[in-house]
Amino acid sequence: MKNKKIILIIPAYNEEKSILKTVNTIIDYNKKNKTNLDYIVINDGSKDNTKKVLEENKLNHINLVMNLGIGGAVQTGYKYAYENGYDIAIQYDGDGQHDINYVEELVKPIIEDNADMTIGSRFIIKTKEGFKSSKARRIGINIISFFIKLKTRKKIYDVTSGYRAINRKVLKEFISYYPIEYPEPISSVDIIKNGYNIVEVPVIMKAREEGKSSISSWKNIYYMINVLLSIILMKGRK
Amino acid sequence: MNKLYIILIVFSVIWIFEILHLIRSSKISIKYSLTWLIMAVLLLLVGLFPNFISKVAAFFGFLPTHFVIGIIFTLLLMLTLSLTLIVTNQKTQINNLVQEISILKSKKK
Repeated sequence: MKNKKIILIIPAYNEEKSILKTVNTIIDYNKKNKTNLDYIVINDGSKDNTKKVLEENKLNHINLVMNLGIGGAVQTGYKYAYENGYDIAIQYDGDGQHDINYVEELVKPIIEDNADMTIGSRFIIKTKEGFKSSKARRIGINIISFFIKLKTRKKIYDVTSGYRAINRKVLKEFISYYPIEYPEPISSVDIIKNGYNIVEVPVIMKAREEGKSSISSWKNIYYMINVLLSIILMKGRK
Repeated sequence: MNKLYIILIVFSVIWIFEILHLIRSSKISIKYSLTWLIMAVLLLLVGLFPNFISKVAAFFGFLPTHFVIGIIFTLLLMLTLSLTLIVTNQKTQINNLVQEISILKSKKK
């Protein structure tokens, strides 16, 4: 892990209360483990003081001039990572849900060349530990997972996980095409369909400390139908 | 002659002139103006040759008025779909622009 250029991409929308803490855990992790993980915060046109917090603390960041949503924000980070020659890019939440201590396990399959993309997954090992999302959300995740299996013959358990790492090949793909709407499940199918390999790595997540999830309750059914439709109809571009 | 056809003729002539005017003053791109123009000309033909339309409508088992409304409705559906495609395409373009500008802006500091 130490001889690879690795960057954490942190999309942030109204995360004034947690963004500094999130970045500090990365810096502390680097000190403790003598690693050189870089990070970039993508401020997705936040309406609160996220921008001020980023500037006052001189955190490495990009302010999007308009709100693009999670997909557009993450893709900005991918473009930045590609331009700056990173080997591995990790999507990492700004709200404290993700545990930095899993980074090593997350990038391991990529470094050993067993995967082009890894997903930090809450569901592959059946423990009661950590945050597993609400029951309704889990049902939704299972349905999407089932349809991805139908479409690609590959089982992905945690289809909405935002804790994901990709190598430079996938980085290049995501720069030219990254689904702006419902990015996580759709981009996974896209990557499999284009012949890349995805490996899930067990992680434990925490419940979000501040801010709201980007998927709100009533939009869930609409979200589900759109995602399923896109998955069923997707085709590889190669 | 049915009043509907007279209204149709008057309306489509005004429409054709309006679209020609828009093209001349470059307010509508040529790519999309053709679709609108074809629609207007089609409507004009419907107004000018009602007997022909009545026969065609009868052949498919429609009342002539229903047939005309059906044609307009179908054309409008096609047009709205093409507008949705354009909007989607522009959304991607705006997304890319916002990303590039934001990256450039952060480099300047």
